[in-house]
Amino acid sequence: MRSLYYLMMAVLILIFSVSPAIAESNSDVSVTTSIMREVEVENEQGKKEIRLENVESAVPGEEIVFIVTYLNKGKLPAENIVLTNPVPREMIYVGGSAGGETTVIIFSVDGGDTYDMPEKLFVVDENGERVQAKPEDYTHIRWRLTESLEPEGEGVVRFKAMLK
Amino acid sequence: MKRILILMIVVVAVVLLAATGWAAGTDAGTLIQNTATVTYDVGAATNLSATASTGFIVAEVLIVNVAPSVLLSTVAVIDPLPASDQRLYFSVQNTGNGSEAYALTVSNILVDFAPDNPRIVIDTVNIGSYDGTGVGGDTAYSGPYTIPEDGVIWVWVINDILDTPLADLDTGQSQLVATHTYAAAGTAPGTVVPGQGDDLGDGPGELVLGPGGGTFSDTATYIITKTSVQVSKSIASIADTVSVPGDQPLPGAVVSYLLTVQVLGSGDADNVVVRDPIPLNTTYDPASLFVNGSAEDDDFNPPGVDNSGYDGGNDWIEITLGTLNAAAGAQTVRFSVTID
Repeated sequence: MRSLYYLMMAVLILIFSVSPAIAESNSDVSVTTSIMREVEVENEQGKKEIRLENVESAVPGEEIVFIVTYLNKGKLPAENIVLTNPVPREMIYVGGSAGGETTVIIFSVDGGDTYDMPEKLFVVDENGERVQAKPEDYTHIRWRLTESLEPEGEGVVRFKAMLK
Repeated sequence: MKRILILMIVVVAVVLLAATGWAAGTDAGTLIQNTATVTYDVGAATNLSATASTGFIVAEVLIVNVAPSVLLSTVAVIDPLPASDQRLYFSVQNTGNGSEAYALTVSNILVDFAPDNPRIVIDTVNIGSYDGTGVGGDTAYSGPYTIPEDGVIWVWVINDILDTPLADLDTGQSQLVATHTYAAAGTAPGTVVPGQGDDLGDGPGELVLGPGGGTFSDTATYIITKTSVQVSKSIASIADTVSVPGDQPLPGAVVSYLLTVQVLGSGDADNVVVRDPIPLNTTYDPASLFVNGSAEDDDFNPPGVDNSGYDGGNDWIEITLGTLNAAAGAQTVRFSVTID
């Protein structure tokens, strides 16, 4: 039974991580996600630089970079594009790490029911008091594109989270 | 190869961070899945959407925290030697994120002396109470011990201190070592072992050796405590009833004695009681007893509370000083007798 479990896990890993996952629908706009880590390497000039590497496994405490790429494969501009990414339950969002050009980034602290700017997010602390939400309280991240996406247009958003 | 080196560097940094910042963390072997959704409008079509997911596996980190108990990290060995079955107490906590088996060994360290004949006893019941090896929950260690993630075992390390010439405050140390199966000599911290990343090495992910490369240890200390009690007695004064030439007092003369009690060494002397028989042919002077300059009544009332006074049945003075150490300084007892 245990071996069957691991076989299923292995299949899931193959599905999810051997290549970036691509949406299977016939949508005009496709989305792919990648899981990376930042590593410091020496380049050919001997200078240190940060590079991204694919992640297949990670240890608790490690920061992971999530990259979401979107592409308009259709023949018409796509409007009102909104990207939503829940922070995996076993991870903690790294404050200030969400980015994406021509986007407005908002967050949810209630499981994705509502979204707002960080300064307008509040939670109830262990003493029952309403306090400003911290990055570790964020459950979802949302990027609203401020411009339409022309055919063949693409973009990237990203965030970091730490494995609990 | 370069990629592996980079991964190891990253992992070492994270593992060292994790060693201080996290307890068990997410279970080894857990699949972490990330899902992104895009919604958009195209022309008259609204609320179109697409979703994509990808994931990774949580690797297992080997981290064990070996630590002597706060109360038993330094144990006083009371002279005289030899002293057998001297116990130290350790905790061994699995702060990694998978259940693993660890071998326990003891390495005795010569400082002023080396403890001898090390034994390991696992304390499973009545934690913190030693019942005797093989008694109650105290079980002699017999091989690698499986510790679940976040689990802790309590360990007695027992040594004998041999009869060798040692001074007060001399020390010897005992090191408890917990070693994982993969901690072969020279295995570096951060080493990644593929395909071993779950409980007892049967998972699909990676196993990462923690700081120490899978070998973890800490040390506790035995300290020799030599304690002695020194008592001196002198005649403080003699008051004759009449003034006559000569050195020898006459009957009726009052002789005042001074006793001094002093503890030497680093330890405590417990239950210190001074008894001094009244010399023959003299009689204790009632109400003449003073302890550390304060008058002490002659009786022993209430019993069990007033433990100092003059015992007429035995014709001695008895002073209970209790626990004393060198820092308490000299204790003085004065009393007087009259020559019959």
